[in-house]
Amino acid sequence: MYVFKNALKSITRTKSRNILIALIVVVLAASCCVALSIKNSATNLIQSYEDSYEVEAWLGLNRQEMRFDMNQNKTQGNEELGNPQDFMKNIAELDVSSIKTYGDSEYVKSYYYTIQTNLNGSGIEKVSMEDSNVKYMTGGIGKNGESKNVGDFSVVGYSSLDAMTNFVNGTYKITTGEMFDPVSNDNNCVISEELAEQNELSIGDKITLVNPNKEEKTYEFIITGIYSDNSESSEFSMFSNAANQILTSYNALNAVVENSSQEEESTLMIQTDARFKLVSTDVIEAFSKELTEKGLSSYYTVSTNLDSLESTLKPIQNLSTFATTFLIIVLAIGGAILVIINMINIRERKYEIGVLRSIGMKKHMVLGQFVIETFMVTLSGIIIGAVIGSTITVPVANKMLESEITSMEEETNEVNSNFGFSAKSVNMTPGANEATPGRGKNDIKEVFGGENVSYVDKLNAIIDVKTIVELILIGVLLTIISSSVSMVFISRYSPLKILSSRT
Amino acid sequence: MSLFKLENVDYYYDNHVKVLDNINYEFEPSKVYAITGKSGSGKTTLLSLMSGLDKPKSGKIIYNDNDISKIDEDKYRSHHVGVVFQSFNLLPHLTAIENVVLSMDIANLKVGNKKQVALSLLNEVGLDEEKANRRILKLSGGEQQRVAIARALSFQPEVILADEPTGNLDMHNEKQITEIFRRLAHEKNKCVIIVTHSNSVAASADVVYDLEKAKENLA
Ligand SMILES: Nc1ncnc2c1ncn2[C@@H]1O[C@H](COP(=O)(O)OP(=O)(O)OP(=O)(O)O)[C@@H](O)[C@H]1O
Ligand SMILES: [Mg+2]
Repeated sequence: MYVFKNALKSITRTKSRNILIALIVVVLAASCCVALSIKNSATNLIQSYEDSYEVEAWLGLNRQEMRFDMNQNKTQGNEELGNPQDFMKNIAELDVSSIKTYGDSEYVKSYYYTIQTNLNGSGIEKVSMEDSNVKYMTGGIGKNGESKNVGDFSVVGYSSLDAMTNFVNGTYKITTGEMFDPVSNDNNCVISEELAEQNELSIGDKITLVNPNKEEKTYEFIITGIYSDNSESSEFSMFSNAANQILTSYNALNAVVENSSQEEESTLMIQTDARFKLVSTDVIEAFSKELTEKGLSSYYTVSTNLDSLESTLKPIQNLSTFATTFLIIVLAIGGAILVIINMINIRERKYEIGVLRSIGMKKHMVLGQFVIETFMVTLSGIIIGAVIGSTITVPVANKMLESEITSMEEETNEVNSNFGFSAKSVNMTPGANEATPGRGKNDIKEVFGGENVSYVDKLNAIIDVKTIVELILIGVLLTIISSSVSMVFISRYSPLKILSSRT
Repeated sequence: MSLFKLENVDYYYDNHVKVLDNINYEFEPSKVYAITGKSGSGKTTLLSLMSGLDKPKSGKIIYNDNDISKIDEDKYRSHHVGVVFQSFNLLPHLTAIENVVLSMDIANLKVGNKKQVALSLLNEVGLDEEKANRRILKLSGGEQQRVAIARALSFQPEVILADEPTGNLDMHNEKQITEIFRRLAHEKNKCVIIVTHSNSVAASADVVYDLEKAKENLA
């Protein structure tokens, strides 16, 4: 086709004009490429973060509303429901069986729970506040105060490893021995370094705990591990000392609780806490609706860790928005510059159009030649620009992703050592994703929802098909912008007009 | 039988001063025609109308029994009439040969080696191979004019319209060009229409139309 031949000749014979246009396109394309790949890798990162993010829901009592309703009852003369104890009785208790009902849901990937009670010790002494390094237990569980009938030790039973959030986030770390298997029924426990030091206890020792309401009832636990507490001293409770915590499995503690409740007088006060890991961020609404249907009192509110996801993603979302804005501005300014340059060039091109038309070349052929010319110039500019742009962006974006992956991997290894497991002892293949409450150490990988392979794949996805398609679309757009001026001349004016109007 | 016919052609530019007034000319194949007239008498204007670049304000231009305002003007210009413009209308970024080949390409001419054909045409109008391979702006006015002539002949049109084709040429070259035009008409049955000031060119023509006279006749 002679039009191609013509276009090529026209490009090579009018170098200065085309080099200028190509240079502008190179700058435009490089900027667009950087902006696009930042935008796309940000989107990918957000996606993968959201995919691997564990959405957790937990239930909290809305005390304010309770108090309000209680007072309402009082003023209405309903003395019975004005009393806090009686009022509480009317609210369905959050016990393990209801937690299991709530957890048995298509929206729940897994769930865990803890129970806590206070017991006295026999032959072991609690760490007093003065002795400890001003490290106190975090609040929440066991706010009963140190009254006579409340035990010296706060005993917590965990349903699974991921229930032990202090170990997962690194606040606690096993220094000797290892974590008990939370799915076993054995009376194993781990204790703090302070408690071990005070009573000269070591791994394998037996400790005896006593029911604070009835001294005859005693329970024996074997120490499998001793942990250190790395928490900031700012987290403390006035009444209980974190050093006096004894951690055990849910099954073991539950056996204790059931044994004690055989008699009314020895019944222990227990506090139950649950966390539900949801399948995705989209099911929160549906899950809380389901809970209400399953009979959860309206005084309980469903809270999630979604806020923290949003705040984590905020900077990268801002980066993505910035990249998009940058892209639009670059395209607008670049497009305007291209039109202006073409308007300056059109005097020369106008003569060419007039000549081609006066020797009988059809409008669409002239148009075709001009578009081909612009497209070839733009395309070569875009290719060069994309190469420059990607050499700038890819290493940067890869670095961003790499550090992301490394921190994810470090987290997993660190958690293994927090539990006192060697990294090797943990099976890295993710198990079946059943919503089972009992998850042992083989399931630890699941706690972090990560598969190493998926992170590595994302590295190659930065200059991906999407980016290339977008760049080509930008190229077409720039071609249209660039050739729009000549298109107007070609289609609107007769050759004689063009030739006679040129000066 | 006339190949080309102007019937009552009127033309004026935007200022409404009549440039062409009731022109009635007929052209036949195998003849050389000369259109003469003073500068500004409307010769180039007439050629623009005949080449379909512009339309008469009234009257008709008939080519091969067709009103040219009703046919595909691009095809008409690229296949049927070869125009030598007074201002040449050559593409400056192309060489002489490339300018000629371009017209052959547009006419979709089926010849073996277009470059070879173009070169022999350029040789015929007096340009050697070295000049044929120069860009247009590196040629003199007269040389450019000869490229324009070669281009008009390149696609073997039935009609050749030439606006002052020897305006920039010396006596020797003028003779050579008029000889080419005469041969095209007499040997190849082309209809050659030459606009000219030159008395010698007019004298070599078979028929002379004087635009000035047409006006006087009307007055
Ligand atoms: N685009 C235009 N607009 C207005 N008037 C024009 C235009 N082009 C030409 N004219 C006028 O029309 C008249 C005829 O012009 P034309 O170019 O046909 O003359 P010509 O006979 O070819 O002259 P020359 O021998 O100098 O080439 C002139 O008076 C000229 O000024
Ligand atoms: Mg003229």
